[in-house]
Amino acid sequence: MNQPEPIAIALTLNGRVLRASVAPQMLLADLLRDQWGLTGTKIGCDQATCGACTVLVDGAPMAACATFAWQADGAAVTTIEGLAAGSALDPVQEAFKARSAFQCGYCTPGMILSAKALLARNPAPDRAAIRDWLSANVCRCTGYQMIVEAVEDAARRLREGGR
Amino acid sequence: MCLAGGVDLVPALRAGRRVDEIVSLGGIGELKAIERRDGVLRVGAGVTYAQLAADRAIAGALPDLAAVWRGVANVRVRHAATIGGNLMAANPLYDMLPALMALDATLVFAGADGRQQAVPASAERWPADLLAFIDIPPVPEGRFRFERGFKPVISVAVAAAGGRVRAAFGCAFERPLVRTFAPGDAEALAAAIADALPEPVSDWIAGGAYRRKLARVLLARQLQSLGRP
Repeated sequence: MNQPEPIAIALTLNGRVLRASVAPQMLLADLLRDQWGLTGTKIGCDQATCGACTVLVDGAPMAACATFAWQADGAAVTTIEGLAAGSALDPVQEAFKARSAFQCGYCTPGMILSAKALLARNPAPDRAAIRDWLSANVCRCTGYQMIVEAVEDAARRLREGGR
Repeated sequence: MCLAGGVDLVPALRAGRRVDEIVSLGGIGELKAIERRDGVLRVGAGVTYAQLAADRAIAGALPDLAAVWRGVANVRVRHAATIGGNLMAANPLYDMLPALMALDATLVFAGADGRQQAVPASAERWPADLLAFIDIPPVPEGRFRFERGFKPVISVAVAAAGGRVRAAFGCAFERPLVRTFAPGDAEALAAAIADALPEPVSDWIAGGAYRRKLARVLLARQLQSLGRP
Protein backbone atom coordinates (compact mmCIF):
# COMPACT_ATOMS: atom_id res chain seq x y z
CA MET A 1 0.00 0.00 0.00
CA ASN A 2 1.24 3.46 -0.83
CA GLN A 3 2.08 5.77 2.02
CA PRO A 4 -0.92 8.09 2.41
CA GLU A 5 -0.22 11.72 1.65
CA PRO A 6 -0.30 14.27 4.46
CA ILE A 7 -3.31 16.56 4.70
CA ALA A 8 -2.97 20.34 5.12
CA ILE A 9 -5.30 21.62 7.80
CA ALA A 10 -5.97 24.97 9.48
CA LEU A 11 -7.84 25.33 12.73
CA THR A 12 -8.40 27.94 15.39
CA LEU A 13 -6.77 26.63 18.54
CA ASN A 14 -7.60 28.56 21.69
CA GLY A 15 -8.26 31.63 19.56
CA ARG A 16 -5.16 31.42 17.33
CA VAL A 17 -5.22 30.18 13.76
CA LEU A 18 -2.72 27.36 13.34
CA ARG A 19 -1.79 25.33 10.30
CA ALA A 20 -0.40 21.84 10.16
CA SER A 21 0.37 19.07 7.75
CA VAL A 22 -0.91 15.87 9.28
CA ALA A 23 -0.83 12.21 8.36
CA PRO A 24 -4.37 10.95 7.69
CA GLN A 25 -4.18 8.62 10.67
CA MET A 26 -2.86 11.24 13.10
CA LEU A 27 -5.17 11.76 16.04
CA LEU A 28 -6.17 15.17 17.34
CA ALA A 29 -4.77 14.23 20.76
CA ASP A 30 -1.37 13.50 19.23
CA LEU A 31 -1.37 16.71 17.22
CA LEU A 32 -2.13 18.72 20.34
CA ARG A 33 0.26 16.93 22.66
CA ASP A 34 3.18 15.82 20.51
CA GLN A 35 3.28 18.43 17.77
CA TRP A 36 2.06 21.48 19.65
CA GLY A 37 3.15 20.55 23.17
CA LEU A 38 -0.27 21.09 24.75
CA THR A 39 -0.10 18.24 27.24
CA GLY A 40 -3.07 19.43 29.27
CA THR A 41 -5.14 17.14 27.05
CA LYS A 42 -4.61 13.83 28.83
CA ILE A 43 -4.67 10.34 27.39
CA GLY A 44 -6.38 8.02 29.85
CA CYS A 45 -8.04 4.96 28.37
CA ASP A 46 -7.13 5.87 24.78
CA GLN A 47 -10.47 4.32 23.78
CA ALA A 48 -12.84 7.33 23.85
CA THR A 49 -14.37 6.19 27.11
CA CYS A 50 -12.73 7.89 30.11
CA GLY A 51 -13.06 11.52 28.98
CA ALA A 52 -9.55 12.63 30.04
CA CYS A 53 -8.84 13.72 26.45
CA THR A 54 -12.04 15.80 26.13
CA VAL A 55 -11.56 18.98 24.10
CA LEU A 56 -14.14 21.33 22.66
CA VAL A 57 -14.55 21.28 18.89
CA ASP A 58 -16.83 24.12 17.82
CA GLY A 59 -18.09 24.08 21.39
CA ALA A 60 -18.96 20.39 21.49
CA PRO A 61 -17.09 18.01 23.81
CA MET A 62 -15.12 15.47 21.81
CA ALA A 63 -12.68 12.69 22.60
CA ALA A 64 -9.39 13.86 21.07
CA CYS A 65 -8.10 10.27 21.21
CA ALA A 66 -10.84 9.16 18.82
CA THR A 67 -10.85 12.12 16.47
CA PHE A 68 -8.53 12.39 13.49
CA ALA A 69 -6.63 15.65 13.38
CA TRP A 70 -8.02 16.37 9.90
CA GLN A 71 -11.56 16.20 11.29
CA ALA A 72 -10.80 19.45 13.15
CA ASP A 73 -9.90 21.24 9.91
CA GLY A 74 -11.71 24.58 9.88
CA ALA A 75 -12.99 24.15 13.42
CA ALA A 76 -12.45 26.12 16.61
CA VAL A 77 -10.73 23.87 19.14
CA THR A 78 -10.49 24.71 22.82
CA THR A 79 -8.13 22.88 25.15
CA ILE A 80 -7.60 23.42 28.86
CA GLU A 81 -4.68 25.73 28.02
CA GLY A 82 -7.12 28.11 26.35
CA LEU A 83 -9.29 28.89 29.36
CA ALA A 84 -7.24 31.11 31.63
CA ALA A 85 -6.53 34.69 30.55
CA GLY A 86 -2.95 35.14 31.71
CA SER A 87 -2.99 34.47 35.44
CA ALA A 88 -6.78 34.94 35.69
CA LEU A 89 -8.44 31.56 35.81
CA ASP A 90 -11.69 30.83 34.05
CA PRO A 91 -14.70 30.81 36.45
CA VAL A 92 -15.03 27.04 36.03
CA GLN A 93 -11.37 26.60 36.95
CA GLU A 94 -11.87 28.94 39.94
CA ALA A 95 -14.83 26.88 41.09
CA PHE A 96 -12.89 23.61 40.83
CA LYS A 97 -10.09 25.19 42.85
CA ALA A 98 -12.44 26.64 45.47
CA ARG A 99 -14.27 23.33 45.89
CA SER A 100 -11.14 21.14 45.87
CA ALA A 101 -12.74 19.24 43.02
CA PHE A 102 -9.63 17.27 42.13
CA GLN A 103 -7.02 15.08 43.72
CA CYS A 104 -4.53 13.66 41.25
CA GLY A 105 -5.85 16.07 38.61
CA TYR A 106 -5.53 13.75 35.63
CA CYS A 107 -9.25 13.88 34.78
CA THR A 108 -9.57 17.58 35.59
CA PRO A 109 -8.94 19.14 32.14
CA GLY A 110 -11.59 16.90 30.61
CA MET A 111 -13.97 17.52 33.50
CA ILE A 112 -13.58 21.28 33.22
CA LEU A 113 -14.06 21.31 29.45
CA SER A 114 -17.16 19.10 29.72
CA ALA A 115 -18.47 21.50 32.37
CA LYS A 116 -17.74 24.47 30.07
CA ALA A 117 -19.73 22.85 27.27
CA LEU A 118 -22.61 22.04 29.62
CA LEU A 119 -22.77 25.56 31.06
CA ALA A 120 -22.65 27.10 27.59
CA ARG A 121 -25.83 25.17 26.75
CA ASN A 122 -27.51 25.28 30.13
CA PRO A 123 -26.49 28.11 32.48
CA ALA A 124 -28.46 26.66 35.41
CA PRO A 125 -28.18 22.87 35.18
CA ASP A 126 -29.77 20.75 37.90
CA ARG A 127 -27.84 17.93 39.54
CA ALA A 128 -29.31 15.35 37.19
CA ALA A 129 -28.03 17.29 34.17
CA ILE A 130 -24.60 17.76 35.74
CA ARG A 131 -24.35 14.06 36.57
CA ASP A 132 -25.52 13.12 33.09
CA TRP A 133 -22.81 15.25 31.47
CA LEU A 134 -20.04 14.27 33.85
CA SER A 135 -20.90 10.58 33.55
CA ALA A 136 -18.84 10.82 30.36
CA ASN A 137 -15.74 11.67 32.44
CA VAL A 138 -14.17 9.14 34.77
CA CYS A 139 -12.52 10.23 38.04
CA ARG A 140 -10.86 7.54 40.10
CA CYS A 141 -10.05 9.74 43.11
CA THR A 142 -12.79 12.05 44.27
CA GLY A 143 -16.10 10.21 44.18
CA TYR A 144 -17.53 13.06 42.09
CA GLN A 145 -19.39 14.87 44.88
CA MET A 146 -17.04 17.85 44.94
CA ILE A 147 -16.90 17.94 41.16
CA VAL A 148 -20.69 18.20 40.96
CA GLU A 149 -20.60 20.95 43.60
CA ALA A 150 -17.88 22.74 41.65
CA VAL A 151 -20.00 22.76 38.50
CA GLU A 152 -22.93 24.18 40.49
CA ASP A 153 -20.57 26.79 41.91
CA ALA A 154 -19.23 27.57 38.43
CA ALA A 155 -22.77 28.03 37.14
CA ARG A 156 -23.41 30.56 39.91
CA ARG A 157 -20.15 32.39 39.18
CA LEU A 158 -20.97 32.59 35.47
CA ARG A 159 -24.51 33.81 36.13
CA GLU A 160 -23.16 36.45 38.48
CA GLY A 161 -21.06 37.96 35.75
CA GLY A 162 -17.99 35.82 35.27
CA ARG A 163 -16.88 35.55 31.69
CA MET B 1 -15.57 3.94 3.43
CA CYS B 2 -17.67 6.85 4.67
CA LEU B 3 -16.96 8.60 7.95
CA ALA B 4 -19.51 10.78 9.72
CA GLY B 5 -19.11 11.02 13.50
CA GLY B 6 -16.38 8.38 13.54
CA VAL B 7 -17.63 6.84 16.77
CA ASP B 8 -17.38 3.32 15.32
CA LEU B 9 -14.92 3.76 12.49
CA VAL B 10 -12.09 5.58 14.28
CA PRO B 11 -11.69 2.93 17.02
CA ALA B 12 -11.97 0.19 14.37
CA LEU B 13 -9.20 1.80 12.33
CA ARG B 14 -7.08 2.19 15.45
CA ALA B 15 -7.66 -1.49 16.21
CA GLY B 16 -6.14 -2.44 12.87
CA ARG B 17 -8.95 -2.33 10.34
CA ARG B 18 -7.56 -1.25 6.98
CA VAL B 19 -9.40 0.80 4.37
CA ASP B 20 -8.12 2.23 1.09
CA GLU B 21 -10.07 5.46 1.30
CA ILE B 22 -12.10 7.44 3.77
CA VAL B 23 -14.70 9.89 2.53
CA SER B 24 -15.71 12.42 5.16
CA LEU B 25 -19.41 13.25 5.16
CA GLY B 26 -18.96 16.04 7.69
CA GLY B 27 -19.29 18.86 5.15
CA ILE B 28 -22.62 17.79 3.63
CA GLY B 29 -25.21 20.10 5.19
CA GLU B 30 -28.19 18.31 3.60
CA LEU B 31 -27.40 15.23 5.68
CA LYS B 32 -27.67 17.24 8.89
CA ALA B 33 -31.13 18.69 8.28
CA ILE B 34 -34.41 17.75 9.92
CA GLU B 35 -37.60 18.75 8.11
CA ARG B 36 -41.25 17.88 8.06
CA ARG B 37 -42.70 17.14 4.63
CA ASP B 38 -46.14 15.71 3.87
CA GLY B 39 -46.63 14.90 7.53
CA VAL B 40 -43.50 12.75 7.64
CA LEU B 41 -40.34 13.72 9.46
CA ARG B 42 -37.29 13.59 7.17
CA VAL B 43 -34.15 13.23 9.25
CA GLY B 44 -30.75 13.50 7.59
CA ALA B 45 -28.46 10.54 8.15
CA GLY B 46 -25.81 12.94 9.47
CA VAL B 47 -28.02 14.24 12.29
CA THR B 48 -26.30 13.66 15.62
CA TYR B 49 -27.94 12.10 18.66
CA ALA B 50 -27.73 15.46 20.44
CA GLN B 51 -29.54 17.13 17.53
CA LEU B 52 -32.20 14.42 17.52
CA ALA B 53 -32.75 14.80 21.27
CA ALA B 54 -33.01 18.61 21.16
CA ASP B 55 -34.73 19.34 17.84
CA ARG B 56 -38.15 21.02 18.10
CA ALA B 57 -39.65 19.28 15.08
CA ILE B 58 -38.68 15.90 16.53
CA ALA B 59 -39.91 16.87 19.99
CA GLY B 60 -43.28 17.78 18.43
CA ALA B 61 -43.71 14.78 16.16
CA LEU B 62 -41.83 12.06 18.06
CA PRO B 63 -41.61 13.19 21.70
CA ASP B 64 -40.91 9.70 23.07
CA LEU B 65 -38.06 9.11 20.63
CA ALA B 66 -36.47 12.43 21.59
CA ALA B 67 -36.80 11.56 25.29
CA VAL B 68 -35.16 8.16 24.80
CA TRP B 69 -32.32 9.63 22.79
CA ARG B 70 -31.46 12.12 25.52
CA GLY B 71 -30.16 9.16 27.55
CA VAL B 72 -28.33 7.17 24.87
CA ALA B 73 -24.58 6.65 25.37
CA ASN B 74 -22.75 9.65 26.88
CA VAL B 75 -22.67 13.31 26.02
CA ARG B 76 -19.51 13.14 23.88
CA VAL B 77 -20.94 10.28 21.85
CA ARG B 78 -24.25 12.12 21.53
CA HIS B 79 -22.49 15.13 20.02
CA ALA B 80 -20.47 13.10 17.51
CA ALA B 81 -22.48 9.99 16.67
CA THR B 82 -24.99 10.18 13.83
CA ILE B 83 -28.20 8.32 13.16
CA GLY B 84 -26.84 7.06 9.86
CA GLY B 85 -23.71 5.81 11.59
CA ASN B 86 -25.77 3.98 14.18
CA LEU B 87 -27.65 2.18 11.40
CA MET B 88 -24.75 1.49 9.04
CA ALA B 89 -22.51 0.17 11.83
CA ALA B 90 -24.91 -2.83 11.77
CA ASN B 91 -24.13 -3.54 15.41
CA PRO B 92 -26.96 -5.72 16.77
CA LEU B 93 -26.62 -4.02 20.16
CA TYR B 94 -27.34 -0.56 18.75
CA ASP B 95 -30.67 1.12 19.31
CA MET B 96 -31.65 3.06 16.20
CA LEU B 97 -32.72 0.15 14.03
CA PRO B 98 -35.18 -1.42 16.50
CA ALA B 99 -36.57 2.07 17.20
CA LEU B 100 -37.03 2.78 13.48
CA MET B 101 -38.49 -0.67 12.81
CA ALA B 102 -41.13 -0.06 15.48
CA LEU B 103 -41.80 3.41 14.10
CA ASP B 104 -42.21 1.98 10.57
CA ALA B 105 -39.54 4.30 9.18
CA THR B 106 -38.22 4.32 5.63
CA LEU B 107 -34.54 4.60 4.73
CA VAL B 108 -33.66 6.64 1.65
CA PHE B 109 -30.38 5.76 -0.05
CA ALA B 110 -28.67 7.95 -2.64
CA GLY B 111 -26.78 6.37 -5.51
CA ALA B 112 -23.74 7.81 -7.27
CA ASP B 113 -25.94 8.47 -10.34
CA GLY B 114 -28.25 10.71 -8.27
CA ARG B 115 -31.01 8.10 -8.02
CA GLN B 116 -32.70 7.65 -4.67
CA GLN B 117 -34.00 4.34 -3.43
CA ALA B 118 -36.33 3.96 -0.46
CA VAL B 119 -36.64 0.77 1.57
CA PRO B 120 -38.43 0.04 4.85
CA ALA B 121 -36.06 0.04 7.85
CA SER B 122 -37.24 -3.52 8.45
CA ALA B 123 -36.13 -4.70 4.98
CA GLU B 124 -33.67 -7.58 5.08
CA ARG B 125 -31.39 -6.04 2.48
CA TRP B 126 -30.54 -2.40 1.98
CA PRO B 127 -29.11 -0.83 -1.20
CA ALA B 128 -25.31 -0.58 -1.23
CA ASP B 129 -25.53 3.22 -1.61
CA LEU B 130 -25.14 6.16 0.72
CA LEU B 131 -27.83 6.37 3.41
CA ALA B 132 -29.08 9.95 3.02
CA PHE B 133 -32.39 10.33 4.89
CA ILE B 134 -34.65 8.55 7.28
CA ASP B 135 -38.38 9.23 6.87
CA ILE B 136 -40.30 8.67 10.10
CA PRO B 137 -44.08 8.94 10.39
CA PRO B 138 -45.03 10.95 13.49
CA VAL B 139 -46.21 9.06 16.58
CA PRO B 140 -48.08 11.02 19.26
CA GLU B 141 -46.79 11.22 22.81
CA GLY B 142 -47.29 8.05 24.80
CA ARG B 143 -47.54 5.82 21.72
CA PHE B 144 -43.87 4.83 21.48
CA ARG B 145 -41.97 3.01 24.19
CA PHE B 146 -38.39 1.79 24.16
CA GLU B 147 -37.09 -0.38 26.99
CA ARG B 148 -33.28 -0.26 26.94
CA GLY B 149 -32.67 -1.08 30.59
CA PHE B 150 -31.90 -4.75 29.97
CA LYS B 151 -29.23 -4.18 27.31
CA PRO B 152 -27.17 -5.99 26.18
CA VAL B 153 -29.54 -8.90 26.87
CA ILE B 154 -32.49 -7.47 24.94
CA SER B 155 -34.17 -4.19 24.02
CA VAL B 156 -37.82 -3.81 23.07
CA ALA B 157 -39.30 -0.91 21.09
CA VAL B 158 -43.06 -0.66 20.66
CA ALA B 159 -45.10 1.86 18.65
CA ALA B 160 -48.85 2.06 18.17
CA ALA B 161 -50.25 3.94 15.17
CA GLY B 162 -53.11 3.54 12.72
CA GLY B 163 -54.76 0.74 14.69
CA ARG B 164 -51.65 -1.46 14.53
CA VAL B 165 -48.87 -2.14 16.99
CA ARG B 166 -45.28 -2.73 15.92
CA ALA B 167 -42.82 -4.33 18.35
CA ALA B 168 -39.11 -4.58 17.56
CA PHE B 169 -36.56 -6.63 19.47
CA GLY B 170 -32.91 -5.58 19.59
CA CYS B 171 -29.77 -7.28 20.99
CA ALA B 172 -31.41 -10.73 21.00
CA PHE B 173 -30.84 -11.67 17.35
CA GLU B 174 -28.12 -11.14 14.77
CA ARG B 175 -30.30 -8.37 13.41
CA PRO B 176 -33.27 -6.71 15.14
CA LEU B 177 -36.70 -8.25 14.37
CA VAL B 178 -40.07 -6.54 14.14
CA ARG B 179 -43.57 -7.96 14.52
CA THR B 180 -46.81 -6.17 13.59
CA PHE B 181 -50.15 -7.04 15.16
CA ALA B 182 -53.55 -5.68 16.18
CA PRO B 183 -53.92 -4.35 19.73
CA GLY B 184 -55.44 -6.68 22.32
CA ASP B 185 -54.79 -8.26 25.69
CA ALA B 186 -51.19 -7.36 26.58
CA GLU B 187 -50.25 -10.59 28.38
CA ALA B 188 -51.77 -12.90 25.78
CA LEU B 189 -50.29 -10.97 22.85
CA ALA B 190 -46.84 -10.81 24.42
CA ALA B 191 -46.85 -14.55 25.16
CA ALA B 192 -47.95 -15.45 21.64
CA ILE B 193 -45.43 -13.16 19.97
CA ALA B 194 -42.49 -14.12 22.19
CA ASP B 195 -43.23 -17.85 21.72
CA ALA B 196 -43.26 -17.43 17.95
CA LEU B 197 -39.93 -15.57 17.74
CA PRO B 198 -37.02 -17.49 16.23
CA GLU B 199 -34.39 -18.83 18.62
CA PRO B 200 -32.65 -15.83 20.26
CA VAL B 201 -28.87 -15.63 20.49
CA SER B 202 -27.25 -17.62 23.29
CA ASP B 203 -23.92 -16.18 24.38
CA TRP B 204 -21.93 -15.34 27.50
CA ILE B 205 -24.32 -12.47 28.23
CA ALA B 206 -27.51 -14.53 28.38
CA GLY B 207 -29.08 -17.77 27.16
CA GLY B 208 -31.69 -17.81 24.40
CA ALA B 209 -34.45 -19.03 26.74
CA TYR B 210 -33.85 -16.12 29.09
CA ARG B 211 -33.93 -13.66 26.22
CA ARG B 212 -37.23 -15.12 24.99
CA LYS B 213 -38.69 -14.85 28.49
CA LEU B 214 -37.60 -11.21 28.75
CA ALA B 215 -39.11 -10.54 25.31
CA ARG B 216 -42.48 -11.67 26.67
CA VAL B 217 -42.22 -9.82 30.00
CA LEU B 218 -40.96 -6.55 28.56
CA LEU B 219 -43.37 -6.60 25.63
CA ALA B 220 -46.33 -7.14 28.00
CA ARG B 221 -45.19 -4.19 30.13
CA GLN B 222 -44.73 -1.98 27.10
CA LEU B 223 -48.15 -2.84 25.71
CA GLN B 224 -49.75 -2.08 29.07
CA SER B 225 -47.97 1.26 29.31
CA LEU B 226 -48.84 2.49 25.81
CA GLY B 227 -51.03 5.54 26.11
CA ARG B 228 -54.37 5.86 24.36
CA PRO B 229 -54.31 7.64 21.01
